[in-house]
Amino acid sequence: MGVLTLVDFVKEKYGIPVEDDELLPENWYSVNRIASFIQSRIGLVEAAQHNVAEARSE
Amino acid sequence: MKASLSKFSPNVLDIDCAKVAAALEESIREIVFHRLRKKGAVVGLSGGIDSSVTAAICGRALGKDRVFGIMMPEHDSSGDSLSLARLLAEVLGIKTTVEDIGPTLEVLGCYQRRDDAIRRVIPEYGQGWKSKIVLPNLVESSQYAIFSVVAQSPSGEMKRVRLTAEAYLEVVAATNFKQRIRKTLEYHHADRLWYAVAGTPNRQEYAQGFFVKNGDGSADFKPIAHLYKTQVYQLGRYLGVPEEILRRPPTTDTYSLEQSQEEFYFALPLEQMDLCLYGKNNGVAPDEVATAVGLSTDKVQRVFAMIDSKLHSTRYLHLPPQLVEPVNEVDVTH
Repeated sequence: MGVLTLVDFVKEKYGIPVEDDELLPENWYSVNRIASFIQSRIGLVEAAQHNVAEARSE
Repeated sequence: MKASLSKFSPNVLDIDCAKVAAALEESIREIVFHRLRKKGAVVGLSGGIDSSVTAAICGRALGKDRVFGIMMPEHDSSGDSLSLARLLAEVLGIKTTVEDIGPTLEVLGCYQRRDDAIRRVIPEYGQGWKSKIVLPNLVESSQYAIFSVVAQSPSGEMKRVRLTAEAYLEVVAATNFKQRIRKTLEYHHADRLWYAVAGTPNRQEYAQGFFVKNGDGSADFKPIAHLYKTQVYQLGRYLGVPEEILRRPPTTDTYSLEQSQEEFYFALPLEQMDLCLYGKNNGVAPDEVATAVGLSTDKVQRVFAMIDSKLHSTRYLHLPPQLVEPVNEVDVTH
């Protein structure tokens, strides 16, 4: 339950998706791991948004 | 019931059914007549193996005229449940009644609350849809045990969506009404008959906390709680439980989509889970258990870790009410 509450918080706070296969201890078992995971997902989201914006301007 | 551990094999769970039955009958008489001072036993009959064996052994221990069976279907119950429970009652020769708890659950908002919770993640979920909640395969991966809802639309389209914490808790809280209302009725009949309420968990369920607090977890005595599931089946065969019940795959019979106990809680087929539980309880090394169960050592270690995790997280279900200070004049031992 604790992990699920944390995942929901991260999704809402940072606006990032968390796939089922990312619900692994290697992503969530320490503060550093969680921070790395969030940063990597934010990076992906920003890249996707950039691609969409570029596609629209063409 | 500890077997020799020199060679761990599936046979380690074999029991001498005649001996086990005789011992159970004596214990049940001692508990019901002497310790609890009741005249008989009430058993909720689900049509499954555990309640069937419980009713059968109580009938032998106390006399069939001192066992009262209650069948309690609701809107999501499998059609088999009632017919199998009736068949069992006929074979055992015990008195029964049917209490349809569907209307009561409706009034309590059980179905509405559950459906509202599912709509948090599947907004289109509604009339004519069916659902169940499932875990990922926890043996194949180290994924956290986080539930998803599987829903089927009226046209047959299937959707699987992970539940949020809020939605999950609300679904469970709503469906827990079912077990708690059933227990309310069992105690009603127990009160009017001066009978004891028999709980029906097997060892997997009891030890791993697979029950609802003050629902199916509540009882005056639990005669098969120490028996592994495969042992319950052996006893069932010995006691003459109908073949249809012996062959029926274990189900939670709680959701509108058929849900196995494996999908919902145990992560392994019952025979494998039993052996893992037995192995862990008796200090058998994971690699020995792995050979007997047909899994890799890594997977058995993962199962052992899951068992520990469940023991820890469900401990509170076994605790009595916590008192601030002891009330010494009340003896809660025997």
